[in-house]
Amino acid sequence: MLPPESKKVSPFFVFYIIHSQQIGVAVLGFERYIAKSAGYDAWISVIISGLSIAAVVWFCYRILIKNGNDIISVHHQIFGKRIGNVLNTAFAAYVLLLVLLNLRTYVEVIQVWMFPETYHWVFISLILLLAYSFVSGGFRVVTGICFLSVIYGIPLLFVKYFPLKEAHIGNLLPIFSHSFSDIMEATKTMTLNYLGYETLLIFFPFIKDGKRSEKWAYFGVLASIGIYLLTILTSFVYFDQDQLRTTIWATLTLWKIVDLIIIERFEYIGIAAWLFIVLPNIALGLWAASRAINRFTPLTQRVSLKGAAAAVLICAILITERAQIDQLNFMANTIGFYLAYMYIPLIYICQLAVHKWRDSK
Amino acid sequence: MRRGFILFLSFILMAGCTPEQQILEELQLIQTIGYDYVSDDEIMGTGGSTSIPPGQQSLPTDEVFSAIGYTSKQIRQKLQNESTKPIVIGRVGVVLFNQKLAEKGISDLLDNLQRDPEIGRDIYLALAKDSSQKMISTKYSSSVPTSNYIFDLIQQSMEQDMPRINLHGFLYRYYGKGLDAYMPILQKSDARLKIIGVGVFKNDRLVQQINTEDAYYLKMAADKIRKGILEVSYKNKKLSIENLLSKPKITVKKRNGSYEAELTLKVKGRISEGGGFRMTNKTIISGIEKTTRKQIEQQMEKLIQSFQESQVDPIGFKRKAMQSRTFSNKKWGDQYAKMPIRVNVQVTIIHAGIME
Repeated sequence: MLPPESKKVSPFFVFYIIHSQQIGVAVLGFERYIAKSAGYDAWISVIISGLSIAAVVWFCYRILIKNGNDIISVHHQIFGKRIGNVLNTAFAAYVLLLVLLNLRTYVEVIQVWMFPETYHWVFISLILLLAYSFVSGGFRVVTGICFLSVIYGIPLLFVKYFPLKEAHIGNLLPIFSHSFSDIMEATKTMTLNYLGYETLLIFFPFIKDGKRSEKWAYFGVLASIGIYLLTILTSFVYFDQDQLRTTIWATLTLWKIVDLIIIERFEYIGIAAWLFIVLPNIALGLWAASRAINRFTPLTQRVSLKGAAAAVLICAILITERAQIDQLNFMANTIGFYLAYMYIPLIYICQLAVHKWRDSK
Repeated sequence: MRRGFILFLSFILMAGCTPEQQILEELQLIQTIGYDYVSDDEIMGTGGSTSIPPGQQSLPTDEVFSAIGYTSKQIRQKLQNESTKPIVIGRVGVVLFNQKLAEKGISDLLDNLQRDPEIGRDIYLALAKDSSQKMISTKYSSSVPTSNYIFDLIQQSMEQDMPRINLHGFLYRYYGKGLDAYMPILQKSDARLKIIGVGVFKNDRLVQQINTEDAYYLKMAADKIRKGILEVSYKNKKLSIENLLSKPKITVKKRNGSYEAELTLKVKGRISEGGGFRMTNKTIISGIEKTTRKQIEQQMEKLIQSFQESQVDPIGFKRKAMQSRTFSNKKWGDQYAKMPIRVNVQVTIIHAGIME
């Protein structure tokens, strides 16, 4: 069941999709989590983690090119219909978990910084409704949102000029003052921020001439490494380590220093603009989950999309406290970590074995 | 049909999405906050705000609210009871701490300031020598509201001769290991307000006060200076050097387990008041350079010694030392008070104005 040619997108769009998926609400406050274990050396973890994710993307491409379709058919091929469907359900649930995480964290930011008096379900429903309307337009519309999100994000990078004016470069010294295990610990925590590339396993058949898109995927990951590196280095030279530890949203807090003539407080502009960074994560996640469900159940994608959106809506409304959001982050991080470094290579090996076995028959 | 339903639904949702409306004229915008010592638990909070009465060409009037309470949020609630409009603190520009309060410690108040998303980070903190309430409720200028007056005074002097520091800088130094924070001290004398020096903090407590002259030397050691003025006496005549450019550099060495530090300053400037000397004469110029160098070195060493005696480090020698791999916190702590810290100044006079 491959999609018709008219629904596919050009290979270079993979750059925008992968990149926009990896840049999400986490950028606003990931510094403190990774600085917790590796201090000012955490920027090394950003690079290590990013490169290792590029390796995982390499595995994804090997699996997908060999199969020619998506992870659903890979699961069926290796494990058969029944076990395959269990894994497919788990995969769809995981993609929805990432959607939930992005949505809920972003709404928390709006609540804490802008509208403390408004109920969280109002924002959750509005954003989900918006994402739903994009997803119902199909994969090409979702790709368009990913593209726009990357473009809209560029002006926000220039804002780094203001904190960099007051930078203390010496903060980064001495380099490698933390042990290898500390840096690896931070690398593990950093995985969460690079998650989102897994949707590749679902949308791969929607790329025209999928093999040719591989280099764009790597460029996407590299661009994400660049953004995270710039963000963390800015925060490190601007904040003190202990100050950073008490700051939940470091990037948002450093927007407070932005001094523009007509805007007294830049955070409000920044948070509003960030909707466009978060939206593709939610939209593509919903699309991927609904497509996955549609592939292995008799449901149409419209029905599965409604189901997925409803599930996210209910879960997001039920989460009300900071501690729960933190826990959700931790959960997604752990699952994402094992998915990237254990499960995907495992699938690759299984697929090799299955092919060998078939050839020998 | 479905499209219409979604549109209808979003209107309903939108209606729930209107937070309390905030119209500028109907808010009490607090621009200056002052905290005063009352007793060991209680503090008095003062909010200074400016409102422009309706009508053409009406001058802005100052309104001051004060209340006593245990926490700053409780004080804010009490202040609200005095005001007819909702109090908003998003435009606060200066936060004043009474000297006695600062000596007891201001960590709770700092915590409140940085926790509140409404408060910006480029606002000024300052010490009030006496009562900050009196400082906020005095009118200093007939055209400029008091809040703006205090803000402008601090901003202006930080451009010129006070070490630059805002809330972010203070928090950076407060949390940062190996650095101590400071803020300017304001004093009200009759209907005038002036900056009389800088207060240096150890953690969240005020421990040392230095006068404006020393504060300028602290600025030279801590900031990059673009335009400054320095007065030197050369052969019993006073000269002044203007457009001073200065850049500090700290080096810390560890020899046989004992630390020594060096502060290098590169100073460049032009002479603006000649005091009757012929400025084309090379020996005079180099003589002035030498005297200036000596003067800065002596003053700076005295200032650093006073910091060492009160165990504070606003210049950040320890911070620099920590950037080395061999840093030992205990040794530094034992040695700091008696550590040799040399000051090394290089002075270059670029030119001497437009006359000989």
